Amino acid sequence: MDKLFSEIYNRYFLIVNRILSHRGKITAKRMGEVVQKDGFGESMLFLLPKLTENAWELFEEENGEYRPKLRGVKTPLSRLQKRWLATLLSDPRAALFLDEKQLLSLRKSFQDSETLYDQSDFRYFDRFSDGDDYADEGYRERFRSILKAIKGQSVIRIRYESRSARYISLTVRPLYLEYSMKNDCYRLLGIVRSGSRMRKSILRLSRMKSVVFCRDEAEAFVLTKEEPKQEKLVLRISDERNAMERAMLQFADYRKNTQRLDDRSYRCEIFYDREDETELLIEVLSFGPMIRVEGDEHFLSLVKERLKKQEAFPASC
Amino acid sequence: MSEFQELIKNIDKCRDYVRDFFVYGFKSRSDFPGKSARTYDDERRRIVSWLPEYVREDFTENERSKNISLQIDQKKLDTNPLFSVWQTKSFTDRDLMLHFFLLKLLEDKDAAYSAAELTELIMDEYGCEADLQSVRRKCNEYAEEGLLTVRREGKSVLYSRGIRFDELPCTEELTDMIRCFQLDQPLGIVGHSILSERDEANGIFRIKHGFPSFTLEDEILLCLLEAMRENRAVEVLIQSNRNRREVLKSGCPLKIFVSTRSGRRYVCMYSGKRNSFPCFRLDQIKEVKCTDPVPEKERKTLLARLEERSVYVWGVSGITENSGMQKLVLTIHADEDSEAYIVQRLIREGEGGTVERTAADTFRYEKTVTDVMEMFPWIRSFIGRIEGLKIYGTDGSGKMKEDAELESRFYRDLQKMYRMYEI
Repeated sequence: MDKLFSEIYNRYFLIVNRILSHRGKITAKRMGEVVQKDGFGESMLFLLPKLTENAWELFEEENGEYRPKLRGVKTPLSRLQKRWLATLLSDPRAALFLDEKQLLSLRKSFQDSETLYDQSDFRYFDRFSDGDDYADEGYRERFRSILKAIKGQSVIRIRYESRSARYISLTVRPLYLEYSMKNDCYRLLGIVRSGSRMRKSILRLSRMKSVVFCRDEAEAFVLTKEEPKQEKLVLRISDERNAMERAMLQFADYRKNTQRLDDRSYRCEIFYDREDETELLIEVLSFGPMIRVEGDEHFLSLVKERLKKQEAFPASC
Repeated sequence: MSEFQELIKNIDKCRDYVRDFFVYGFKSRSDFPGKSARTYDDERRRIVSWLPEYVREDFTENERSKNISLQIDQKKLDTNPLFSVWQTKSFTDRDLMLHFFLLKLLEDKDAAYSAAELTELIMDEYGCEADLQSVRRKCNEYAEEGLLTVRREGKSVLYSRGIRFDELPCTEELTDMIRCFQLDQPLGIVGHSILSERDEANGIFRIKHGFPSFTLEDEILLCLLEAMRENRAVEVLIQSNRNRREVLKSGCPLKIFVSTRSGRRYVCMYSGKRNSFPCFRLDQIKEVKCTDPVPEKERKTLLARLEERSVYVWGVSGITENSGMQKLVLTIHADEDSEAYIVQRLIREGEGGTVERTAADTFRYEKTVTDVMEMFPWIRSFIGRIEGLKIYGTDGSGKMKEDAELESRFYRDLQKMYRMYEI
């Protein structure tokens, strides 16, 4: 049985390897810097003395400096790592990164590695049904162009279908590709030039019709306005029908602070970006009376507005 | 009394603390009954040490104790900070020394040595004394992990190293794929370990609607997947999050059900005793033990039964064939010109339910399910647009009949909300 919790993946091993890979001799100070940067909070206390006292006999001490007895190692892949990679090759999204020839060649490399699971072993039961079409060759090409542009810090021009089904041309400095598990789709986060202004934008890849590289300098794409601060939503959660636990899990992908008020109720602050407001609103509504919005005023007004509309329907009473 | 250590032998206990600090974030020492104050303090100190950038400490209301929470905004991060938990396995001095000495001596692809030769080489090359037994044990351990390969030559057992990542074809493309998949694929920590080993960061991909705490269940998931691969039944020890009571359940694991909205994963098992398909939350499973083999043909039949039934299952409830059926008819108001996205929501989120335009700006959604209550949260997400809601259930004779009790339960909640917000 493959082990997930194994010393071979230990952070200390990685740090020691980085120190051993250092060219020539290394000082205790430099070792400390590496431990501080890559280690855990208290690794200076536990790992550094082992190195400076040469407890592992990996160094030869020379005038207060340390000469590694061996250069850092390149660890072979573990069986679990090979199996995980072999498994991913059958994911439909693998073809976004690798063409057919590359996939074949990798499958050959992993022919002795049993996959960990099949895609059919999982059922994502509430995933949206209009996910991206990863089999579309045009989509794959656009994905690869964007990936290349992010890595090369290039600017691209995108022909994009807007929500109103109009085609627009956008000049974008791509920053990140964001994958949504719920929507099963990719979005591009980037800076879009709009006249003399530069604004942050989120573009869905499935709405892109073409992606071409431009000669514009990526450095010129700097946001005109600072990114707005995150909004704060304040909820009062009543622990009926296991609502507390459900809410904590459902909102786990937001930064949040929770306080217990009494045995049955909790106060929870959720920090969110304005672009996620509607999504958060319907998530909050989905809890019904188990969650009450206490602030901010703007979010509260959105909840009330929806409830007023609902009350106006005859069947609602 | 043992001294505090940053690394740990066993992940089980610590995993529960990390989950509680991350998911809830309001628990203090008094919320962990049955644990000594020292145990709590040590676990808390460790978690602060592993995840210093994400820890927030607050005083509780009465200011008598501190609680800690993990502040993680996953969508702004290029990895899952909770992966750190998997990098904390303790080791002995000998483990670390042999790791580097052996992998260095076997660095050459063609190098193949016996344990005795390796023991001698460690002395010759690095001036360190190692005993043959420890070297052999470590070599066998690493062969088991897949880092080394073993071959017999006459009476000798020779060890050489396994394939390295940089020896694979198209490593650049593969690295990009790992950067992305470590964030959203099951067992993403494995991908993260490959990137860490190569000192590769991810400056390209982000994840939305991801659940960092999934990684804490990945060892349980791995055991269940292995049982599924090997066509074996399992015994799972389940602990309720509410009352901490433990129960043992057995059955044949068939599928992993994942909710991309609620942050829960389940294993759906077949229980022969009850001829049912119960689902158990992975975050409540403490232990998995593989038991008897299940004939492949039998497993296939069970999977076919599950698939057939899944069409009617909204979430995870009512998979067993003898549970009744319910029908939901939901009438939604949406402006045809400006609110087409609402109709799109019904289609894409409605898990195959039918959507029909019944009048101007009015759409009817219909779906037959095993448990309509599971749909309530989704239905409530349309508050402000619900023109009508009808629920039908099968009566004793198997006929569909309106279920007024369930309908009024939905409307009672709405009434509560009107009062709550003084509408």
